[in-house]
Amino acid sequence: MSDIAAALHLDTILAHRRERTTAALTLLHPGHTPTPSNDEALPLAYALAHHRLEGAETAARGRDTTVLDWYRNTAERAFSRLIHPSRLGPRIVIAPQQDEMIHGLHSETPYYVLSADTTLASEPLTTLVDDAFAHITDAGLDGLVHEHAAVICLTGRRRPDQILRSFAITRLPATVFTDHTGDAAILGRDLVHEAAHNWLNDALATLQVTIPEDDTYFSPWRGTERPAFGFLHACFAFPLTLIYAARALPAASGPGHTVLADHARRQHTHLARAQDDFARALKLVTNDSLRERLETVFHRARSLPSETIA
Amino acid sequence: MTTTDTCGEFLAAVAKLRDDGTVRLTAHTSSVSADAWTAPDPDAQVTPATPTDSAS
Repeated sequence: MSDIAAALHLDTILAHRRERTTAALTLLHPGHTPTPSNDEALPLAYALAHHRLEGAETAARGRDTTVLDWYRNTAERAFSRLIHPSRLGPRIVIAPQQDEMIHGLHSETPYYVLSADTTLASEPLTTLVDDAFAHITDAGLDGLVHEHAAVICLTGRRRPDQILRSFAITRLPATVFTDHTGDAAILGRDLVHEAAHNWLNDALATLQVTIPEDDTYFSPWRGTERPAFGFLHACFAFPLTLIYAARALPAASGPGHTVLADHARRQHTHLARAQDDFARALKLVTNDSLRERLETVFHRARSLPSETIA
Repeated sequence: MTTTDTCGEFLAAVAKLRDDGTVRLTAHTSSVSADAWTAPDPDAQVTPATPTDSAS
């Protein structure tokens, strides 16, 4: 196991997500003991339990007992028909239209919850995701994406001159939302980035670590001062994308190669600028094991020789 | 049991289960090197992505 794979392997996350999945399913089906998922199926089971919980909660808030009942009694079977077997385990890949995204209570950013109306992404998009998984596997980050990107919501294809947006939300762990350009190597980068956010959210939850919001830190990615939570997330997710880019570059070609090389150069510069504030912010992480893991990832990316990312 | 009870009881149970009092959204935006593409991409959506609340 590489140093990065070891840093990302946190047994307590697995125990935490097993426990949370069982709790969600028990709440949805009182009196029914859910069948425990095996290690390969657990990430998707964890993601789907949270989609069902979120959908059921929204239905209950709207006093819609029909939809509430669907999420409790029918969703499991309905969602199982959406599952796509992949090299990283069972996944659900969707690509909803912009008007299907919902404006929830929790975020200004529209997001998506699996429902009775959900359909699969087209075959070319599913193939694109499979190809992205191949790049991720080659880069040695398949464990991260296997565990933290079980539902992949493609939020739109963008032209090269447009901005790519991606996000993750704590209410839907193991789900990632991302735009794409049609290039698998670039999509691989963004899946790694969002899976990293989900990893850190799970780690903070399972280790019961709270990041104080009092101080701010200069984020070279934003060019502004940011609270510690967002800054530390950036200092974890971007280094992993740099590691991904450096490892994926030799096999990438065409636009993907150009974009990843440009990304790697920029991240190298940003990490150098973030280093002092990262050291300061890291002191807020009270759990020794988590602090060491964040430090390992940051410094591993920081230490990549510039010739490997050129 | 009334409709209100079914929904209300479910919401009460969910509230007890939730341990993530603050819902966090971690988002980022990135631009792609335009010169990486030599030809227009006909399949891309024309609607620009919206930068949003974010963490990274």
